[in-house]
Amino acid sequence: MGEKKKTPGLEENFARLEELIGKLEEEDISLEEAFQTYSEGMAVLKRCNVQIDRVEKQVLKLGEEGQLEEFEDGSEGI
Amino acid sequence: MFAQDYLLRSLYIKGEVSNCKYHSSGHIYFTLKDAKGTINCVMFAGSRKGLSFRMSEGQQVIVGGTVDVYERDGKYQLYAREIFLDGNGQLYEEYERLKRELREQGMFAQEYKQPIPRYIRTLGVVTAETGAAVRDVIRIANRRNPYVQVILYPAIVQGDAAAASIVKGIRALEALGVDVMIVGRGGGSIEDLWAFNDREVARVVFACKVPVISAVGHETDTTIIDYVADLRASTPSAAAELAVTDVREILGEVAAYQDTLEQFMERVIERKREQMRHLELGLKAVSPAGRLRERKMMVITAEERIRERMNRVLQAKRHELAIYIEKMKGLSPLEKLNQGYSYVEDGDGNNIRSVEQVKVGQSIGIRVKDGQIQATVEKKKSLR
Repeated sequence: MGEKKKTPGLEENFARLEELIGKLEEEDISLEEAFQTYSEGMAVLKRCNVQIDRVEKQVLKLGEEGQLEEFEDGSEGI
Repeated sequence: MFAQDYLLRSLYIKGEVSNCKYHSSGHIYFTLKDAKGTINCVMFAGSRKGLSFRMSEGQQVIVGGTVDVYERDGKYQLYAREIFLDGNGQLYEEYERLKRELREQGMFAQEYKQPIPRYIRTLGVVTAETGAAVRDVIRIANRRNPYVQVILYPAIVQGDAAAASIVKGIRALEALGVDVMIVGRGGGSIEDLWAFNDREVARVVFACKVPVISAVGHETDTTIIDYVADLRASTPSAAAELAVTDVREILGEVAAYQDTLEQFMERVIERKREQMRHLELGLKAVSPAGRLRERKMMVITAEERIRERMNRVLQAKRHELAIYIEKMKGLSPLEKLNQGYSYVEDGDGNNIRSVEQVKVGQSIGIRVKDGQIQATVEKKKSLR
């Protein structure tokens, strides 16, 4: 898949959340650790919400020179 | 008779398609004609895999099948098993050869298939800039998740330049780093779809680091890249469905994670509180105040016990004393007098216990219960 190491995707974040929840489930977790786990979870959630960045995207067209331009759908009336 | 004829059971007839009807049952009825004559043909729904294009009027085809009599009409007809476009015989062979070759190279192997990520942010599309395919993909992607960035590489999808254009498009989108790409086009004749049977296109799709969903033509069309792609969609619309997870589903998942996280945190805190209460109780038990109280209690109980013991001893002694008093009473000389005995003494107050102690004529005192008697000894007599 991705050749470069980028910020974790939603899938990785979900996996991390699973991990954190698992940690919170442990019987002998210390309160400090629990707080740390919880706040990390909250941060991950925030990242998830940012990742689903809720801005409607214009369709882009990749040009010959590798430039991106807005795609105008020639055929009207979808 | 027909059915026993070996030749009629497996033959190929060349001709032009006319009166072609796709019946809703899936069967296809058509007539095959050439300069000299016609024959009615039927391809049953169950044999449809023998047809890889959409038949239309006027096409030159080769039909392979069985000739038999249709008893109701008393006419013989051709039951088609496979149909090829004539002139495409060569194309078809080429397709089969390439398919075999790539399969042998392992390019269709399941182990090379990359999973399609469930959450994508950018979707690349390699297809024609105009036409139903691109519109279908955009419409469905937008409907499912308008926040996904669709990036189109406007490719030439048919004709001589198509294969090179598609290769370029896949490479360009791969270099751009989209999360998933859809490569395809709408339906068409076998020639129209030919670029998707190209060796180079297949190689690029196979090597592409971005997961590729192929989406060529209609459901019945299968091209080489369908075998090579990480996932095959029957149509461009279906490809968009497969590529883009509904955003509501994702948001729901995020919300669920949040809920779970909060719930578990609360549970941890509740557990800690419980532990604290427990420890508090334990601590109270060992605190100095607690100890002091405990000591006091011990002193009090000890005192009570001592007192009780003491009382018991006193009582016992008192009881004993009473018994003694009773006994003493029994022994008192006055008591004896009470019982009818009397006490005799001489003039000096000595108790007279023997006849030897008195002389005749001596005065003696006799004590009885209620007084004293003064008497004189008149006579004495020894019992021995």
